[in-house]
Amino acid sequence: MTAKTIDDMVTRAELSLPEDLRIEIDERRDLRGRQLYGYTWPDGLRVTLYPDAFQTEEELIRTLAHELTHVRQVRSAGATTDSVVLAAREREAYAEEEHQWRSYLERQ
Amino acid sequence: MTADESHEAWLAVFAAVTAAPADARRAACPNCGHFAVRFQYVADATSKVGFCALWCENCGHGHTLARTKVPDGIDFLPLETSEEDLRAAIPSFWDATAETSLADDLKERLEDATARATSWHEVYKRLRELVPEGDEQRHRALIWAFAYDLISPDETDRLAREGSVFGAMFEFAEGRMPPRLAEVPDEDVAVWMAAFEAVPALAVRSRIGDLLWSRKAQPAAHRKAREACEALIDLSRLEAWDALEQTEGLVRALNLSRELNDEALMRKVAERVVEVVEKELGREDRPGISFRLLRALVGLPQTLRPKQLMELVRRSAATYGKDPHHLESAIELEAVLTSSPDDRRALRVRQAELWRDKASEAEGILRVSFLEKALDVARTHGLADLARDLRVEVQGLTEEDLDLKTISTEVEIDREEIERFHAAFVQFDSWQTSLAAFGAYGPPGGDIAAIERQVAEQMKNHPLQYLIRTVVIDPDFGVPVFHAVDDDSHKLAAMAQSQWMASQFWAVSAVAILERFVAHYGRPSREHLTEFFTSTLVDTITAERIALAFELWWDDRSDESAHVLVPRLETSIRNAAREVGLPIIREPYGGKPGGVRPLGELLHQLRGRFASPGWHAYLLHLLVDPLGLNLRNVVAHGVRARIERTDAALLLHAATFLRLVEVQKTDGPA
Repeated sequence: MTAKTIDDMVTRAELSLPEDLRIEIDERRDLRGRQLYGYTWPDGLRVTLYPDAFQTEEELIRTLAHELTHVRQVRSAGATTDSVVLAAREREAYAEEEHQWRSYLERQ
Repeated sequence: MTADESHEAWLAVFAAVTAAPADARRAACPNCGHFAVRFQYVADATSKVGFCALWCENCGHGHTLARTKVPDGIDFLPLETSEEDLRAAIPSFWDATAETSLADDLKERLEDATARATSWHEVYKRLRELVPEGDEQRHRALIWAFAYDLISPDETDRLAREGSVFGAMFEFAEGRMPPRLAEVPDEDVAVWMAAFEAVPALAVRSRIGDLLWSRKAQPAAHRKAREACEALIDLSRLEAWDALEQTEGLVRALNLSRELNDEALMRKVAERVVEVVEKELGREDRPGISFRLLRALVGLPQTLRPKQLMELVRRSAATYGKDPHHLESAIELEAVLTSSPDDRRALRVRQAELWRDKASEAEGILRVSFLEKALDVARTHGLADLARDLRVEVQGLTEEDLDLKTISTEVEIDREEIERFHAAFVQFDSWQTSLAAFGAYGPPGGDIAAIERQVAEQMKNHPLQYLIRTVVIDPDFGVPVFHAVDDDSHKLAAMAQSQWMASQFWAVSAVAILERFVAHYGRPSREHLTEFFTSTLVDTITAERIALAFELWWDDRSDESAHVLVPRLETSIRNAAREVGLPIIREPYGGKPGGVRPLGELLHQLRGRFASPGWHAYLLHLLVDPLGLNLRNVVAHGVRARIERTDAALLLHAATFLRLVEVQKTDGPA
């Protein structure tokens, strides 16, 4: 659970990170095993990764791909609390993580 | 307001409530502290990856977390769930961490503008000064919020027009500022929402809370209305806050509590209103404040009215009663509060007598106005005897009593042009063609739709003169016949005035043309004129009388001419009504004898049947409209000592026009 782990994974999965994006790691113990993996902040400049994101290589790639989609969404259309918009954004983020994970597997 | 409504605070709530076995009651809302948190996962049906929404049912605040996976044993909604079901499962909520939070610079400026402000208007002015040039668009929602004019409950027309209690500060031909509340874009409502949560100043909570409630902006619009109501009460205690805005605010608070149907809040506001009125009754210089507040209390349901309300109303009469308008206000309120019909009647008699006394001290049009007010009270409240006496008093006033002043204006018209116009009527070879041309000219004033457009334009360009109550005085009796008090009645009076001016202008030409006619062709014989006037609508006997009317006019006996002519005009119009299939007689009914229908009724029934609506409107104006020349009634009721040459010329012109009218049958109604 270090910045280096993240950098390595971003490189291996060929993910594209905006230059001004900051990725933080929240190591708090009470979130372990709570199946919370990531969070994109409403300003689109920060992503926080939680302990469960580091359980496996797959989870980390999927989480990074997922949150990067949210970063793009927030930067282009702003944050939202509308459940319908959230569900639509979530569908896109889930499709993207699926795509990135399969691409990664194909390249291995 | 939030103690710690951060992402971390909501994370702690998430961790607590989703821990197996999941229990939403396990954590308090980080904003309000209530144990009313709910959560809902929405996720991919297979992988269960998605987001978790958390919100508080008490305060409407919340937060969302993604990427998460739904723990085993917890229900979730698939990502493909329909919009309707998603919205039903997850209400709108306020996320303090989301980008919709108020930007720091906006927050700072709003705090600066509200600090030590003494009115909402002052907040508006300060905000405008604080906004950096070029950044107006980002600040417009805040500026609008404080620019709104809180509409009083008495301004029912304006309330209906605006669709809310918030009215425009400015209205121009091209637009208004601010926009109607319902037309404020959602993005600006989001700024209000953020401002309400970010700045706890009373000016913000009272105004923006009410705007959000009135706009029904979710989430938690009810909570905002309550907080606005409480803020309005607190503002009424702020020494520095503008007294008028305090009063308007309390009236609004009372209405807000009624809109919320919250009796406890209603009582709380009412208590504060009573405190303010008690204090105000100690001074005589601001009756408006006391009466506005008392009126609001009287408007409450009977069970919620403060016990001391009647006493307060009576004290207001004692404090401000030297002015009849204030005394009347107090009487009006007491009449609503009293439960005894006898007491109510006695109060209304007192109210009418108040204006009668005032009239006896006044002179001129003011005297008429007071007497009319007394008559209005007597009539409205069924005081028949008093109304009769007052009516006699009003009728007894002479034109001299009114002490009216003449306002005149001059318009220069080229003499040659007038000459050419008059000469055009006698340019024909035969007198018959000349007289037919005379009858064909018109309608004076032109097309009625054009008059309407012209009046509407005039009202739009010069709105001030139409805001003032206008009294139309009958020229023969000198008594008021019409009061223009609102847009519709002002329009009616203005149209009548426009038609009146046009017909007076035409009357001068009509006289000149008829004189020139004789000079040019000589007088046709009675026999020839009779023959000329006999037509579809004019039988020979009637035509002979019309011919006589012409002769009388040329003999300078205009009064006799009009008296001979008016019944014959009525005959011709009745013939027209019969020809187009309208009933012209009334059958006997019960004990009442039948008879012919009056001319006014016939002319109104003929609306839409004339090829030219302008001519129909002109005939109404000329013959039967009490706001118009009304010559049929003036002649038939003998209200004018002598009919002048100009008026008689207009009647001759109308007779000549009616001679030209032909009835055309169509497939439908004639």
